[in-house]
Amino acid sequence: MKKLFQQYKLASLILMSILVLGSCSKYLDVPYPTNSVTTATAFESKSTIDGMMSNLYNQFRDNVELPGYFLDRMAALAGDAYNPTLAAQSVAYQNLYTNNMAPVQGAYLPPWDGFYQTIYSANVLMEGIPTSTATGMTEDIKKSYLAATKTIRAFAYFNLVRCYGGVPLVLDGNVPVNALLPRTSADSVYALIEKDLKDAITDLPADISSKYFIDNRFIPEAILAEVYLTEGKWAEAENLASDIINSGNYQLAALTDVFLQSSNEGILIVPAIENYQNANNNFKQGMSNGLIRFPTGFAQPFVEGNSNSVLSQDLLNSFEPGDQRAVNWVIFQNVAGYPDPAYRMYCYKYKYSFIWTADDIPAGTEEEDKVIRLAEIYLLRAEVRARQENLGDAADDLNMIRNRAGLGNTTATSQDDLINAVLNERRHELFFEGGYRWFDLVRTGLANTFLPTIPYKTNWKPYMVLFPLSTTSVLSKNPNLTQTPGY
Amino acid sequence: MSLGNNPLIVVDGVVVNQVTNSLIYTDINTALAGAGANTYGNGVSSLNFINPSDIESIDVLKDADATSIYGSRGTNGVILITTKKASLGKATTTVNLSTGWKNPTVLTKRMNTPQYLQMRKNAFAMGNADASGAINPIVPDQYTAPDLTQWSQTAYTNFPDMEMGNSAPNYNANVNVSGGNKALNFVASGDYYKMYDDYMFKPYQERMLGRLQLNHSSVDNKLNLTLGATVGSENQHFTTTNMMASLSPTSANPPNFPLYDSMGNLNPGNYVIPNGYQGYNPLFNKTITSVSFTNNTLLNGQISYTILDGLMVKFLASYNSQANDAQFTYPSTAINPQNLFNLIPFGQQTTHLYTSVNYEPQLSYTHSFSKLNFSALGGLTFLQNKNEETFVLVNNPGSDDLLNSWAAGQPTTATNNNTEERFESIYARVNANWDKKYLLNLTFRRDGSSRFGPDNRFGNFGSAGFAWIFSSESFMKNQHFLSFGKLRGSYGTTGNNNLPDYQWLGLMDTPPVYVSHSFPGYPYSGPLEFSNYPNPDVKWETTAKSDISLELGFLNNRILFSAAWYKSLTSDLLTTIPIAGQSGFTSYYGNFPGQVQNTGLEFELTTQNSGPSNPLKWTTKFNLSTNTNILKSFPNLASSGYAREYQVGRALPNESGTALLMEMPYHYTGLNTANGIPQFQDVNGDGIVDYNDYASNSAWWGTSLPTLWGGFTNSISYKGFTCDIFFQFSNGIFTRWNYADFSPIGSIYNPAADVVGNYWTKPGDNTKYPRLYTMAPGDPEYTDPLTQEYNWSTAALYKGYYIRLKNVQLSYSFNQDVLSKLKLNHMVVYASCENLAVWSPVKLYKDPEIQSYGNENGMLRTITAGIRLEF
Repeated sequence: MKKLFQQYKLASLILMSILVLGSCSKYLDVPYPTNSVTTATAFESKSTIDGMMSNLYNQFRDNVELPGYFLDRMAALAGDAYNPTLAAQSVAYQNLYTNNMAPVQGAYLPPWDGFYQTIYSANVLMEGIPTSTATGMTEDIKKSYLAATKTIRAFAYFNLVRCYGGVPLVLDGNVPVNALLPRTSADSVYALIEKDLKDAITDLPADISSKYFIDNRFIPEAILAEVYLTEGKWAEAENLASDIINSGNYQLAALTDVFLQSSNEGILIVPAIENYQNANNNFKQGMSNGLIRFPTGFAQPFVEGNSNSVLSQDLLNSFEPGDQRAVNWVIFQNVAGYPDPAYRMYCYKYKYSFIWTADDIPAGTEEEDKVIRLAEIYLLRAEVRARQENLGDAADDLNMIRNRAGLGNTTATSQDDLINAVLNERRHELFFEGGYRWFDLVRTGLANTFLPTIPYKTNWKPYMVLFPLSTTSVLSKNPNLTQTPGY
Repeated sequence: MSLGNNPLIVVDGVVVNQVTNSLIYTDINTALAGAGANTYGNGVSSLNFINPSDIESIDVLKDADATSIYGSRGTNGVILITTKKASLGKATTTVNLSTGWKNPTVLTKRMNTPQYLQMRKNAFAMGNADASGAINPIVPDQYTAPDLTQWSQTAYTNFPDMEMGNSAPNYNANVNVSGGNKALNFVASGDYYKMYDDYMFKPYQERMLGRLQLNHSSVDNKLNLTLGATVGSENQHFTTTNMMASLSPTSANPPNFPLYDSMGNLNPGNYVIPNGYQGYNPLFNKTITSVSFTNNTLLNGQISYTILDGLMVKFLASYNSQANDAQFTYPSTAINPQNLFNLIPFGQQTTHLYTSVNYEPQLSYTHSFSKLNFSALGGLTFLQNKNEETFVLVNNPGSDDLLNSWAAGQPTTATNNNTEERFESIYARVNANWDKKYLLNLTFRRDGSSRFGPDNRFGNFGSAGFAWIFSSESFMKNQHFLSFGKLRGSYGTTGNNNLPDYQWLGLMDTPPVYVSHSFPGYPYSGPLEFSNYPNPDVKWETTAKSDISLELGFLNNRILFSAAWYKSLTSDLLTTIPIAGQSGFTSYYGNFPGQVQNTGLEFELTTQNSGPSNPLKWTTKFNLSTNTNILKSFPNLASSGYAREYQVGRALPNESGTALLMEMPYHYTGLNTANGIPQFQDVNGDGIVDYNDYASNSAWWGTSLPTLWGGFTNSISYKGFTCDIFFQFSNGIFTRWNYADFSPIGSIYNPAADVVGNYWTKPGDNTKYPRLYTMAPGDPEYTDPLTQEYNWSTAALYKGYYIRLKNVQLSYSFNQDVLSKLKLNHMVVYASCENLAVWSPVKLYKDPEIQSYGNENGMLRTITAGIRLEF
């Protein structure tokens, strides 16, 4: 019996020591991965904040200034793009050409998640920068970073509200709460956009120190001018446009040079990406926004996903005789052997080159994406001046653009004619850029009168000015969201 | 939907890691991912480094109390593999040689050239769909129909056969030597294995491994020592069948597709743009290489010492290191000018180092008090897993011989990933047994995992089990009918920590170069992306399982019957939680807010059909299982992000998007016989058939998981002959028909041969398949019903059962006369065949276990023959 007792004593001693050893939770403190930074300490270092800002710019480039594949779709919706072969083969493209955007997979809807990922990044930065005590985060730098962040967030909401109407207003980084927010009114979205941009204009200087960086007030001014144009605030839009034009920072370039890196026409610019490539995408130089075109003579006329933006016959026919933009900015590519050129000819806005190897780009011909350029600001001012019955100045602004395109002065004299002339000029100056034509049709109501005149758009319904929310990837995840009316 | 469904595999007390790996890449994305691009945890399963002929026994544990000692890692069941121990005395040598070959059990039969061309001609003659059924012929031209106007009208390539019908031999040889005495004995074995797959370009894997195990026992038997070492290497050579993810499978190429042009060069296949046809010439992929080399080292040891009578202390330790090097090269000769996304030669290389260290001290005590046998065990587990991975992509090195030279090309992407996981546990188990009639097991364990945040690291789990062997009771002594009777039951909880590392922690990292170009002139260097939405609250998943079973033996155990019932309820299931994109993220890792319940019954009947004295032994085994999976509860489902897809009381949808479409498909109601257009039910009753009908909850069709399955085995042996035949069946599954992949019938794809003669041709026809559709330019009015709606509808789904002849084995063991002449202890020749055939009441043209399109390979029929010698 004594032996048994000894056994118990020994056993309990060993068990006790095992328990002490086992409760040592330090063992579970694994080192953090060496290839990452933790968000908990993000605002304690300027270089981490810089990395987050850099990521915000990438997101802005990839999502917010509408991605090129989406600009193609905007052009298709507006009737400026039509590819008969695509229309025949693909349900998704039929839906585009007939404006029958179904809220299902593959319907090519605007990048909802992408817009909001950018907004999230901006919100996190806006929450963290003001209280950051990191070395090097001076008040000036904080002001400049916050202004850039607000400009990007405002641009994201501007595109969201134009595409989807009153969207959920996400203003902070509280993910679980934001995930269930309902739609708000379009007015409250516009109020936020105006406030963000006005703050940015106040906080940014008039000097331009870096070409691609939101570091001067003219960038938020240009965006706000477009916002005012959309809202019908003509006088406010004119003031901003005049401030940009009068700054003397920007000049209209020669027609052939507009998109070159050397031209001085861009106000908001996104750079071309060097070596944009991976194993799937061996694009030596392509635009991030995906406006990828085949160089002349390329053997293959069509591959889905690349050259969908064939200019429509409507658009081609509508150029005035002598319009040099139809010569300099349009590539006509006839496919060898096709029996019917009118049907099988592929035309692209040869704006953003698609070049297979870097060697193929002659020096001095590198392009970049002029997201907002001076020509648009002139046309914007022409329109708002005309709408305020300042017809003489409106015509002057319009003629700046017409003359550069090799056209004579406008013949329009009445207010209505002049407004229509400006809208027509916007169509031919800005085709395939920024979704301008589509948003012009929507904001002016022309969508309801012009689009039904296009034979393949007879199914047009007024609710189609806004896009549906994807049932599978957007609506299904938030029960508080409502589908866009009509869908 | 849980993150890990693999059972835990334990070899001689050491847990091994598992990775599933295919030798075939059906598109570029999986090819690159499989070759290691930015995926960690890739490599070869350590299970591959176990020599099958070293295995002594395999035990499968499922009950709550049996698995709970393995803790969180045993949630999905435990497979215990015990390797052979040394045979004492004179050394014995076993040699096993076998060879075999594989081919598909089912290979989709597609149309031959005359059938295909006739279908295409009919499609054009019928023209585009028209509501009235009117005929609007289209003249095929070189753009809409190169297969009718340009290509040979007699050429025939059997693409499914070319792609998947290749001879695939395998070879296996192993030697096992063991001997020694009680004080020191050993087992040594060597194994070589090479297996080809049936895909084109002969993908294969090859493995070599050696194992040595030493055992020592002290004279007084108090000290026992075991040391084991396994080293192995595995080479894998993969086949990439398609470089363009968006394309249809090679096997759907028109049978007269020209593989070569008139000059004898490979034909890029860039035809027929108007039809969207991008038929791919698979021969371009011949020069793509994708190889993986893995070296594996496993060392394990255990030492035990009996301190006092019944009290033993034991220490187990193991070390596993796996080094994997995967290379993928895309040379200039593989470039198809049609494939605009891959016009530059490239090479990529991934190296992956995985190390795992595990040690486990244990203390056990056994004692008997009269009829009570008592044993107790306590122990600790410490486990550390480290992963280090690097990835480099090199573009355009100038020469195809230098595709893996980082210096010759331009390394455009270089990434690395280092992670570490630790796990610790303390556990105790008590077993008591009274007179071998009443048995009780109790276990408790506290598991800790570094995958959870500091506040949620530990989970407590436990179980209790009882058994009553009532056949041992005195009141059962006087009858001979029931020879064995046992009633057992258990209840227990287990945890699961199967989620990626560091998800509780918010991390930012710099994306690979090709997505992260900083704007030139920016003052910033590398952009930092949010790589996850941190979930500091993520915690252990818990499964509470109860089971009860009855085991009966009749007539001296010639008839054995068992029945079991189980119910398991999983709470806080670890999974990716979808979250509305407006939050900034689309998903995160977390605990599923609902509870998932599985209930089922399992029956097994084994009969010895032959008498004990009969030299012919015949045993029959029949088993049947059911399982019902439902969402048991979900607080506030209606206001959650799951409201549109989940319903309490219904099975959970599968994870992937395509599976979801199968679960909520369009409901096909038959053809409109006037025009041959398929019609669908207005499921949600809004007056129109559109996308809302398949996205709606009421379109639910069921899950693809079986509800009832089982097996039927007959084993017959006579003198030296044995024969085993095993049938398997499964009911309640659903799967796709393989009639025409995703394309409308009549377009430039080769559908299943079943379509011949079964499509609509004129008003009044009520056929199995709808009207033909060329997809040539024209009236698009009926594109939707003929393409995506039909393909995503119940018309394309089969719901029912299948039976598979899973395994047939024959062997002959030579008798003593022959053996003594040959101076052998044993000699066995054997042959086996797996997946011999499969039947379903409706012909599916594919393996019913394969859900997707494209890869129709399914279960391979494997025939093996071999000889085993012992001397």
